[in-house]
Amino acid sequence: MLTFTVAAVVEKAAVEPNMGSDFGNAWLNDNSAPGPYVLNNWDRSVSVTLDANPNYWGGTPAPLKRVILQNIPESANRQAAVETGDADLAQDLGPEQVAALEGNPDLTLDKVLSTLLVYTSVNATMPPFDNPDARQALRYAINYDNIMTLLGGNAELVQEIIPISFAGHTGKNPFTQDIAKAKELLAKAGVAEGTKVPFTVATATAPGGVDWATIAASIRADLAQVGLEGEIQQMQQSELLTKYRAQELPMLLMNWGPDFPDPDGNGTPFANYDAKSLAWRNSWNDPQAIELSKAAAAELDVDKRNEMYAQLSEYVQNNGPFAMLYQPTRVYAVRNNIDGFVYDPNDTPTVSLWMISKK
Amino acid sequence: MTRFVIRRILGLLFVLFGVTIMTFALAQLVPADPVAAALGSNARDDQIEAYRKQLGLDQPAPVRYVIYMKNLLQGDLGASIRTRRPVMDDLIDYLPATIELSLAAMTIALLVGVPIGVFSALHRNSWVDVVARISAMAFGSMPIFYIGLLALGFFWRQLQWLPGPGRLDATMQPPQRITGLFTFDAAVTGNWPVFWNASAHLILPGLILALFSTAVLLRMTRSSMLEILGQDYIRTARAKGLNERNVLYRHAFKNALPPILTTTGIVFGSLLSGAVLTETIFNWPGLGRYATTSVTTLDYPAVLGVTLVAATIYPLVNTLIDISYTAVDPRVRID
Repeated sequence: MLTFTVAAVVEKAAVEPNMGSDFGNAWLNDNSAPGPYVLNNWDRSVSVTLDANPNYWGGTPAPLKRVILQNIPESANRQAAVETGDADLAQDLGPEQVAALEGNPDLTLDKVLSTLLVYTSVNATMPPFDNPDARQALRYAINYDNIMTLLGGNAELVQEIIPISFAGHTGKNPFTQDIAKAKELLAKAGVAEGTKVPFTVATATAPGGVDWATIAASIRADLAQVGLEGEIQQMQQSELLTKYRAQELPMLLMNWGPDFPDPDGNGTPFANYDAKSLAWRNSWNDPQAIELSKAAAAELDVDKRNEMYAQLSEYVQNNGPFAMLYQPTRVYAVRNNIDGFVYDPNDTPTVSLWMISKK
Repeated sequence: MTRFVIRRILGLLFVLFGVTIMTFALAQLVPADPVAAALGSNARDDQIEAYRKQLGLDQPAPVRYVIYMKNLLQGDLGASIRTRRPVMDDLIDYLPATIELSLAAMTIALLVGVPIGVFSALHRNSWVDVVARISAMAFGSMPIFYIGLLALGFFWRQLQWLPGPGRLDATMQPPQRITGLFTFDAAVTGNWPVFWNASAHLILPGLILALFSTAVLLRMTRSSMLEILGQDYIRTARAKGLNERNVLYRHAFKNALPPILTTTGIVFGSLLSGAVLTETIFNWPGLGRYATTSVTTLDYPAVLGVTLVAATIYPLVNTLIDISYTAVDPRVRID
């Protein structure tokens, strides 16, 4: 748990007297000092100012006197900030910003992998996707190359439920668009030509920097080629999640990030119906997937465990309600005066600030 | 006067009461769960239920409304579901940024729009008039997100004459808080580096936000002046040998003022209730941005808070404008 973003160590002696009624939550907002840097100021939705911790217990003191994390929502402005030198480091640059910054002698671009996975999924109890063959047809219908092109290099193709860099990741991407095969599978499943499929997507931008609607439009065109009529319905992500949780969506586009850096962080949600997570939201109740995910999570032998996850991955890949699409990457622009830039997807912030120094 | 103000305040209370009912009802119609939204896609159902209970959202809507009103009467706007802070604290953080930006934009609009409008009316169809009218049309209809990004790209990225987005350079600390208006607080505490920096940060967003208001004021001033200049009493004033300055300022401009004042009130009111696009592009932590984030995350205590503030500002500004009529036009009695 403590290796991931969900929790941090706090000093009991410091927090306990300031617990209040919220376990010290409010107090910690203004008084966080566990590491090489201490919180000087948090200007909400504007900036977080961190100062070097004079009482740091870890030996080597912080290499910088002050670190300022600025919130700049417009990616064009983030680009300008790192170009002008107003910022030394800029994160989450979109494909356009990357194109503009490429070849700039003042900085380098670092492309790093997130732990997220973007997928499209279908409800396994609603026709036409209540039939496993129809679900497999969906996976063969999708033009993965086109989606990767849309993302402009801001993603890696991943068709399994375990992300790259996690134990148990197999690197197997067995699906490429095969219209004939998809049609054959749909015919076998008895799905009529022109069947309508309500397809729900969120407004705003998907991980990887492309609008959800753009990816959905690509998939809709693929569905049309195999004789399915995707009816795109856009809604706020919060509204989409509410309906998804209520098992109400026949088909949707979403992303998942594991709660902790272990294959179980994805294995259970994607495979175990009883966990009331993703498998449940898509009404996919498959005893074999449930048993496999439980057994893999409990296995202590590393090699055996990885082997079990590979097996689970493959099973979900071919039977589950998901068509896994990609693992988004994030692009950082690092100015030349910065030394020691290290990206850590398991950290908050995802840049290891304590390792950075300035030339 | 006193009776007038009291009547207005009573009217305002009535409006606010209506606003609470409307916003509360609208929040019930949204087919999504704010609590689930706040906890993200990974949260388990029992966690969602626990947070719902903690927020008191497990009660039926009418009960929640009564509780909300009870708290509101004691000045408590409730807690934001998203930021988990009292909405009042959030508003105190965000509102001054909007007020400062609106004041800057309004000052620019008045200083530019009114004099040029008067000049245009006096020299009708001269080249100044033509240029002024065309630019008013062009700038007034230019989309803010476009011209805002363009201005940033040019004056900040290319020329580096003006600072980038935000209220202050990242390396600057905000001045000691008195009103929350950075320029005012810095000036009062004699913190001149911050004062100049905050002022420089106001120029671009102020100008961009002022474009539309300037265009509106310019056109209103011009047409109002033209109407008055065509009146018989102006001809009489000139005929009796009054010098042009007196004709203009004592007879024409003063009589042209009431519609200009009304427009100023409407424009200022709309600026104060938050300029979402300008605030987003210039990374300005104001009411508009707070409102949009609150709406998209279904944070309805926050939405209610913002709506109440906006609903207070409008009648308030208009009341002040009404009172100012008496100073301009002695015929107007507000009792």
